[in-house]
Amino acid sequence: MDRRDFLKEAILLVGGAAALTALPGCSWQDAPYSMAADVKKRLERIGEIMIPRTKTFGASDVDAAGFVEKLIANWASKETRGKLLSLIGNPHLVALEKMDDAKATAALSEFDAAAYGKDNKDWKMLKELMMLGYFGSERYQTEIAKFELVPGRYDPCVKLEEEAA
Amino acid sequence: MSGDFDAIIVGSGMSGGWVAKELTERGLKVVVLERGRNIDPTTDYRDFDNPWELENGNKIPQEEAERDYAIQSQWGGFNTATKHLWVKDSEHPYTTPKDKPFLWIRGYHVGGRSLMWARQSYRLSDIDFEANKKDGHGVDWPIRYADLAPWYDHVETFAGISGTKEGLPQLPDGQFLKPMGLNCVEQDFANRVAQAFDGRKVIPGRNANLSEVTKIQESLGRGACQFRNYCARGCSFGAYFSSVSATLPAAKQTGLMTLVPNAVVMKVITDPKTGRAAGVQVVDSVTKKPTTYTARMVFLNASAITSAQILLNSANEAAPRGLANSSDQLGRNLMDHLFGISTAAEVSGFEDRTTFGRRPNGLYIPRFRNLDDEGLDFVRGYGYQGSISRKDWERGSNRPGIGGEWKDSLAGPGGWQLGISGFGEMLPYAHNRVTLNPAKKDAWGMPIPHIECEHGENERKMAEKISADAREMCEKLGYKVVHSNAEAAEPGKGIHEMGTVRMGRDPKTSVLNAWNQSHDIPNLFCTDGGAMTSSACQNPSLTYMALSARASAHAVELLQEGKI
Repeated sequence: MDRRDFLKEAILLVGGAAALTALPGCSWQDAPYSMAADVKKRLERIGEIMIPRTKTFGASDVDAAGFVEKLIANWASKETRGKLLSLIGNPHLVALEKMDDAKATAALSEFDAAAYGKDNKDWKMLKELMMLGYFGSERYQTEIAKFELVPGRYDPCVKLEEEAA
Repeated sequence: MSGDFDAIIVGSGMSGGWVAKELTERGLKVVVLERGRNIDPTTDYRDFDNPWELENGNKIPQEEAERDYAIQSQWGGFNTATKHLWVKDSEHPYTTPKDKPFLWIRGYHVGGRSLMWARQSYRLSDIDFEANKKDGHGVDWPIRYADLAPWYDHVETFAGISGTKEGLPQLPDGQFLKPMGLNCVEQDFANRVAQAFDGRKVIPGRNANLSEVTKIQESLGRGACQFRNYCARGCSFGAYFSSVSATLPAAKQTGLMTLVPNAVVMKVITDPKTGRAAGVQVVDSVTKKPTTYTARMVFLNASAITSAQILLNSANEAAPRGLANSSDQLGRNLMDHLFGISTAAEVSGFEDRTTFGRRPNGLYIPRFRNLDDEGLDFVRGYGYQGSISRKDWERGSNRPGIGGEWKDSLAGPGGWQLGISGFGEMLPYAHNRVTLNPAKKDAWGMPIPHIECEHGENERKMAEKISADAREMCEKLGYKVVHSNAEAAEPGKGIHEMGTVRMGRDPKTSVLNAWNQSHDIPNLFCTDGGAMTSSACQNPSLTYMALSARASAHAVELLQEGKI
């Protein structure tokens, strides 16, 4: 973590993005966002536990975390970015890195269920972005969803197995 | 001064394109003035981008949306693939009272909103044309269905509308291409609704997408629909009707059309001796250089709010409250459709069935209320649009779940879900109006519109019934309602602005006559949504097209007879 990222995270811990503007002479928030390596690592861990490899590939195989990183940099407002980074720094999520996969899955499952119970919008957003990064990826869309850019026809009633064939 | 035209057409969208086609095909030399930029389908249409190729997952950066597209971004079709087709609100301001929001959603470019429309195309019936007279709201339409029927035939045949003949008096049949039909679950829904509810029908939407291609469409280079459902990005096949794919190419083929993009019309100018329209004052949107165009007649097709704005800004000594406004109705009676009253329900069964291709169409439930006196506490009626489709992976995002099993469970299609949304008729109220903001001008020096519009008691009662009827249909059929709301979106969100330059029989209470011709100025016409005397509940574009073609043909006759 470089000094800038350290400062960013420290600020988020003490008061969120609103505290940033209180820093005189500090202009980093206007520079293009660049995610620190350890933040990216945490995001990757969240992705691979949320959407693991099964009989099919998982989030890490399509770099869904990289997609989320780009959205945090290029789509999210400063406020949203602050919320998402704060969430990624949540101790429960940071702890996933030091657990084995089974424990991490149980822990994230518990976190996810609690987040829905509390209507944690930041978690819902992060989850949606990670899902978009995975399910919306070229590999998923072409290999699993069998997306066709130009279907060329409409069949209003197909048996599922025919469609799969 | 740029003259030598038979007609000036202000606006190149849904209605302006038709006027250009009809006038040029009858030998008139026209200039089409479009305030927006030109459209180049090879670069402006993003219909060949794969979903994963769209920047930011097809999401507009939040700060940009808030800064430049505060209104446009409230429309569901606003995304990376379509952003360039919607105006920047920051560059095209208007005002409303604080407690009366109005969403003005639009695009400034050649083709206007005909490029982004939802393509649903329905005829009005005499139930609609007679409604104002019967219940006393607004003024009587100066025409009846029989006046417009041959023109509906004309525009449907050229545009290409898919649909089914249903024999419904409230929704007359037309000249249809083969339908883009219901899927098996929608068909089951249709059968069961017909059984359970007397006089209620579920039919395939009637849409302006080519389910098949006729010679007339082929001659314009249009191709059949490829079932991508990316119409809102522009269609490289020209498979849905727009000015760009159909009417403007037809007008161009005559060699009699001059199309001028970036031409912001400021006002209609009149000959002080005769009081007739002499031309228009224009400012180039890029260079801001002023120009004047002159012609023998002027057609306003700038959309309801802008056409009224131009006429209000054309006030002169003889017409101090706006041109063609002796009735004081110019800018008044602004209507939209009741919109956003939606219902979603889970449908069980049919797990082994799905669909192939992405149909750019849905189901339609034609109006069934107040066709006869039902004793309801509101007048007029509504229809529903929607579909029943299988849920995709996104169903996993709104409920708890993570991990391998969860992931794998999202790989196949989810259950079937119905989503329908009501489109309700809004009454014409004189106090719902467009005026000029006396204190604010746009970047070209034009006073910006001030829009004051709200729903009334009739709309609120209708909204509740729209919601209740939808829930009742679902519940009676055993569907599980998972979403339901009874409050309409802010006016404007239906993107069907109408009524500000209304047609009528009496010059004292209307702006236009039965031929879309100004009562006050015989060589001035308006055939966009402004002309609508009532809103009905059907999507209005097909009616704008028919009115435009009819008025154009009549204007040429008047010109040839030396009457204008």
